[in-house]
Amino acid sequence: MEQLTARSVKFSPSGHGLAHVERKPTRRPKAKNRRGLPLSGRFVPMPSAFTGRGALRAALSLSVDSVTVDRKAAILRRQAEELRSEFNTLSEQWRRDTQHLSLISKKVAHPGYLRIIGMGEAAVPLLLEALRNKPAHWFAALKAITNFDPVPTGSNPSAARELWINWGMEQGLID
Amino acid sequence: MAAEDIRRDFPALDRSSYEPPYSGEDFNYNCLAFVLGDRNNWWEPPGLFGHYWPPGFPEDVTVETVTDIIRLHGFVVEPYDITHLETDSIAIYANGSEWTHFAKFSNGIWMSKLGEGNDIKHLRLEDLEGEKYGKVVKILSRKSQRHT
Repeated sequence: MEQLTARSVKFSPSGHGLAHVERKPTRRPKAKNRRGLPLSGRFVPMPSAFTGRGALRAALSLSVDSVTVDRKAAILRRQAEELRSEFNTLSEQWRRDTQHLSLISKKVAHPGYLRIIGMGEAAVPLLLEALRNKPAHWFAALKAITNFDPVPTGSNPSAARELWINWGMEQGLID
Repeated sequence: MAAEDIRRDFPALDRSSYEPPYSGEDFNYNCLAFVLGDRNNWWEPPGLFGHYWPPGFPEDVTVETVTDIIRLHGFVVEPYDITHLETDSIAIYANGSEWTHFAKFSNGIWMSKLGEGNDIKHLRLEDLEGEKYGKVVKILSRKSQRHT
């Protein structure tokens, strides 16, 4: 049974930019019921090693040393601390100026939002933290900086928020 | 914070429009979704960062396109700026040819969802006109569902 086709993400080995890797399908043991018969259909239970942070670790171990990922995340988080003050000022300015606008396309054109995108990768931990602390339309900035989008078409903002936060935790970019 | 922000952006609004809050802040839906009865989706063309847009309509934010979308829900353009208790109405605010906001008239009162902020009630459409939303350019109505 070919499973686990989800896309895994890792930091680029060069250390410059986030890279995204299409992991080849891996063969995992077939799940069985109490009688030892194989389970079929959509509701096959996933072993804990294939879910959450464990899944990312397992995935990364196939292609990149997880220590590299942790180191990269630690570097970004340290760099983020240097930007925190400016980020807080800009994000508060953005919130005040755009919270009553009805179009996200207008919100993301705000100079403060664009400046945050311009901060690059080091802003990602701050964006994820901001998103975790309070719902807001940070998705365009995250997507622009990481060149990645974990959100399937048709998801509403709450679902997008949850997916981005989970991604950030898996990457070690937020706690 | 919310009340202070509303007061700053819409100085003409009566304080009773938003205090106490009529609803919590919610970034899941915008004013267009609100007036069409959807509190789960942000209605904006996907190419413009939106999360939901009815299929088959041009992906733009023109008053013309959105009027067609609203008409699909049984509303017709009113020749006069008149609202009755027997009607549900939707007002379109715009800057030039692009819409900026929507308010709905139901049960004899106008209601608005302010961006990702609160839902509010307001007595007059003019209360929200200004720098943020421009001016009301069109009103569409249908017979109230409660009076059928």
